[in-house]
Order: sequence, then structure tokens, then C-alpha cells
Amino acid sequence: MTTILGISAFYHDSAAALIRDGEIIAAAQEERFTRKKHDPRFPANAINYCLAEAFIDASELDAVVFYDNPLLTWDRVLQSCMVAGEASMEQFEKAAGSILGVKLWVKDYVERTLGSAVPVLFTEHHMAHAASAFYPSPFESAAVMTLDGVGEWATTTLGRAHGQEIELFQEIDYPHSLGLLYSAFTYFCGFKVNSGEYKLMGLAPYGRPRYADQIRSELIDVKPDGSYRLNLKYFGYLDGLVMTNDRFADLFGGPARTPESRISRREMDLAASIQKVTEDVVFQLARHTRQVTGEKNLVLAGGVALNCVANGKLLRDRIFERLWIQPAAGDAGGALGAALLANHQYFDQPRRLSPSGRDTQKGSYLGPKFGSGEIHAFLDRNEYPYDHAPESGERARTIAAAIASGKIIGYFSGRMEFGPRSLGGRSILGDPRSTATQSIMNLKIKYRESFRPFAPSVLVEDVSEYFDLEEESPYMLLVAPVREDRRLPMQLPESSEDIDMLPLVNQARSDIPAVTHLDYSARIQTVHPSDHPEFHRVIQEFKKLTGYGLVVNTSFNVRGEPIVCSPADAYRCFMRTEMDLLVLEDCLLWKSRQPRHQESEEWEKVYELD
Amino acid sequence: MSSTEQFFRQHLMEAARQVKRDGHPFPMGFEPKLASYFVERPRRPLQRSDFEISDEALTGACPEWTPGAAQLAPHLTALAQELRLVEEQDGEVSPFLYIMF
Repeated sequence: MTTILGISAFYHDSAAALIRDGEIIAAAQEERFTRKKHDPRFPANAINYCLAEAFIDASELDAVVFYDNPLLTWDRVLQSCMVAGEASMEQFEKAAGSILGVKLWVKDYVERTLGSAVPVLFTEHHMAHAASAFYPSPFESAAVMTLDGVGEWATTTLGRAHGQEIELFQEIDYPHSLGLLYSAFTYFCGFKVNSGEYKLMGLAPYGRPRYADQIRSELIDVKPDGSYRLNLKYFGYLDGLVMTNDRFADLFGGPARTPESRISRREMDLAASIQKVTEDVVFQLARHTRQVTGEKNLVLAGGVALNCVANGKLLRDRIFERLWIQPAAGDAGGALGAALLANHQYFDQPRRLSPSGRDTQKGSYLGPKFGSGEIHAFLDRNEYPYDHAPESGERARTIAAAIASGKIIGYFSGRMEFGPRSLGGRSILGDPRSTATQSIMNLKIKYRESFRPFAPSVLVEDVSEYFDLEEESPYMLLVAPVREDRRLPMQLPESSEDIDMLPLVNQARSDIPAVTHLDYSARIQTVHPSDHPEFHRVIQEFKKLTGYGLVVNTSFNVRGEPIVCSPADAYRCFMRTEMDLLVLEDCLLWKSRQPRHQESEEWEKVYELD
Repeated sequence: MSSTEQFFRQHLMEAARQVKRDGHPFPMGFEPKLASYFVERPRRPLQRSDFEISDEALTGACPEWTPGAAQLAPHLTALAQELRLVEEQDGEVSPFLYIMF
């Protein structure tokens, strides 16, 4: 038996993952336990959870595998500072503290945390991404693409995988990076780098790609094979602490947008433009990879692979017949990839595909689960009133009826998801038919005024009734159009310098308005009964009541907060917001019956916007 | 002056002058004459040794280091020992920088 713990840490989104004989046993992000979003610290809590889930002691581990090579990262830092010169002093001080002070000593961290001398191995960052994309996929062989901000040196890699072998044969190196280019626009448009990219993608349909040619001529040069370079004179990340510089601002008509200020036409058009350029580069890379490898299947990972709009178009373009994307495509997934890579390449363990023909990611429900006994004990100890609903059919009917009557549900069921998306383990659910759902969820639950619609969770067997999509999309990583026969005509304002987005957001665009974006697209999760039978049952019951086999699904958190992990997190979030019903496994808690909630902190100030 | 700043000014910037005399270690912009910007990776299967970093390597030069960085290795060893575990990871991620470390 081979048991391996993978860890990612000291950058952002630290995580741990445990595999046994190639089977993924557990994986979780540290932020869920510490309640600090994108927590980069050593994932001691996530490690403890993984060991507990596997019922093992640290001494039983065959290896701990770190998801990148700190020596090569340090080499990049030194080279980068040498190029940047004196201006990089501040950046160097931060890097020296982080890498020389902490990251180089990861073996010490492991020994201190585990209290045991377990061998510590290292993988290359993009090999870990590639492994996270290929090994859990349903494919015997596939082309591989990894795209992110930066690993050690590589920012983009292409390769091929077969059986238990992965070979990466071409790469683009730092400082040329599609991820960094997208992040530069994220920063310039007033969103947080590393987490606000999703907002930029959501903003794109409001704009026109009128800057795309300028981006192509000034910022990025793309060769016919998809390889690219950036023009570094426009960027600030080599010698400063910001992504873009004055030249960049001059190119786009003025300084970066101040965070949380009004979003203007310029930001909408910049979002549309960089989205278009990104998609074009991804497509060119994909065509080249297909041509070079001859593979019919493609697997993707790295932060850019979370761009579900590009993913959806890639699938529809049919460059590859099939596509599989690691749901924890960012650095957290590196923990899983590192463990899998060591398992198959270092310990030479054979790879086993799922006999079902589906992937082995287990729906990405790889985090903690809380048993009925634990939840009852928690509720009884705190004297929170609840209804016990032990029969799952009856429970699903109650939840579905609540959704159908316009209630907003906090849904806590089964194991927590690994990766950035809520997939029915820790979700907030609502009625997709209602135009009010989106504004209620935004204003009374998330406490934000978002220009983005929510995502639908749809019965896998019904997906093509609502969307132009024939495939599964179990991880909410594909965007597809709402079917034309469901769309409603929209009143778009005349093109003007500034438009108010919120009236547009609240305009019904289809018979499922809460999940239909301005361009009639939707970010889809298909729910398979074998992945999450409870959640599937709730949607089935909703369909019996309404005729619609889908619900609104958004992450169970308030703005800027990590997704809830424990029943206590869920209850706290439920009471801070205007959710109507909290489902904690087989316990139903109605807001109207709960005691007055006492806050011990000014939580609105704790969590910042992305 | 902290030891980090001392290293930066006395050793790293000195090496930087040398590196700049030799040309940039990485390209900074477009090259229209190139047919492709891809860097070819060595085509070989992964070895067990690819997963291993010795304790000595952690405080010295790494064989894969580029020459400019390799010449700094002796000074880096001392700095690494001095900074070892001094920095508390406060969990903050810069909102502005796709942090390079």
C-alpha cells in the first residue's frame, strides 16, 4: 500500500491532498479551516484533516510531496531582480523572506507538523498541474495544457500523457505569461489579482472588444503556433509591486480604476477585449497541441483553466473531441497533482481508470463530512431549534418546496468540495425562474451588487433541455449558451460612455433569468446521481413541483469569506444573512425560529471584496 | 542596513551589472523574426532523482540555476541560514501583485 500526502503552500491557496494506491482519499484547502481567504500558510489543518480521513498516522505516509521546486523559483527571483535592478529592492526583500526564510525549509515544516521523519519530495509546479489534470481524468491518453501566472519559470506548458506517463515538451517561460496578462487587466480594472479574475470574466459580456487589436499589437505577440511573448515595458511586476505601469495606463486612456468605484464603459470594454485575446491564444495553443500530439482528448489545469468561458468555447470549437479540466485548477490542485505524480512516477504505481468511464475525482467532494450525530450534538448543545427530517425523499421535497416558493436555502450536505466552486456540498440554493432571486441573493445574502448572474445546477439528464450543451459539466467549468427557444428579447441601452449595469442585470433574459448572463450564457454544473444523490434528489423534486430540473447554486459564504466548512461556519453564515432555511444534513433550521444572533465581531469589515 | 538589503546591494546588484553586460537573461519583448516563442523541454522520462532535493542543495547552488544566480550561492547560504523561519507567514496576499514567490 502506498500512501502519499501532497501539499501546496507559501504562495496562495495552500492545500493538502492524500492518495492511497492512486485513489484520491481526501483533499482540502487550508482557508476553509482557518477562515482566511486564499490562506498561503503551511496547511497544517488540511493535513490533519487528510490524515484523519484516511485513518492513518503521519508515520504511515510513504512520502510528502511539495508542489514546486523552491530552488528554481529562487533562481527566477534572482534573475528577475537582476534585470529589474535597484527598483526591485522591495520585491526582493519580500521574496527573500518568503523563499529563503520559509519555502526552502519546507522539510522542517513537514517534520514539525507531522512529528515524523517522512521523506519529502518535490515536483515541478507545472508537472503537478499536468498530473492533477491527467491522472483523475477519464482518458487513457490525452494532450496536456497547463496555463497559469507562473510556476518556477514556466507559465504555459504543452505535453502528452499516456497510461502513467506524462511528458511536457514545450513551454513559455516567465515573465511571459497569459495568466499574468489577464491578471494585469484584473488589477487595472480595479479587482483583486488572484481572485478577481472571475469578475473580469463576468464583466466581459457587457463590453465590446474594442481594445483587442491594441492588446495584440502592443502587449502580446502571438505566433501561429500559439506561442506568445509580452512586451514587458507595459508591466510593473518585474520591478514593482503593481501589475501595470504608467505606459499601460496611457495606452488605455488613464489610470487604473479605483477598487469598488463605479465600473465604466472602459472597464467593460477592456474586460471584453482581454477575454477575446485570451480565448484566441488558448484556441491557437490548443490547435497546435492537437496537431503535435494527434490526441483526441485534452486535459487542462492551471489558473487560466478556471476561465470557464474560454473552456466552453474550446469545447464547442471541437479542436479536441473531449475535454477534462481539473476542478481545483489553481495552486490548491497542485497538492493533488504532486501526490499523484509521485505515486505514478516515483513509486511506479499503475494508473487505474474508473470502470464507469467517468473521472476519478469523485465529484470533487473530497473534504470533510459531518455525521448526523455531530450535527445533532452541535445543534442541541447550542439549543438551536430544528426539525429532524431523517427520510431523504421527504427532506428533498421540503427543500424543493421552499426553493419553489422563493426561499433561499443554505445547503450543507455531504463532503465539502475541493476547488473554488460550490457544487452542492456547501451551497446556497434558489429558484432560477424568478427575476428576484438574483437581486435577493446579491443584496440580502452576499451583500454585494454584482453584475454577474448565478450558476445553475441542472440534472445531468436534462442539461440539453436548457442549454446548448450535450456533455457533462460536473465542476462548473464550462459556460454554454441558454437554448435559443428559452431566450427573451432584451432592451440594451444605446452605446454610451457610461451605462448603469444593474438594471441590465435585473432584466429577464430567459425563462430561467437568475442564471442567464447578459450574452445568454450560463456557467453550468450538471448534477449526476452517483456523485451527489441527495442534491440530485432535491433538484428532481423541484422539477416535479415546477417542471424545471435546475436550481440556482452559489457558494455558501458572504462576500470575501471562504466557503463554509463546518456546521458552525454554516450556522454563522446563515444567521448573518437573510437566508430562510438552513439544511444541515438531516436537520432543517428555519430562520424564523432561530434565537437572536449575537455577533462577536464586525464581520462586514473582516471580509473584503475580491 | 538589514542583511537582506546588504546582500541585495553588495552582491545581487553587482551580479546584475555583469548580467546586463552579457545581455538580458530572458527576452523582454517581441521578436518578429522568430517563428515560435516556445522553449523546447528535454524529452526524457521523469527519474526518481527529479523528485529529490538534498539538504545541501537547499542552501547552496542548484545545478539547474542560471549562471548569474549560481555565482551568488555562497552568499545566499549565509542569508538563508539567517532568515530561516524568521518570517511569520501572516497569511496576507498582496491584492496588487501576482506575487512572484
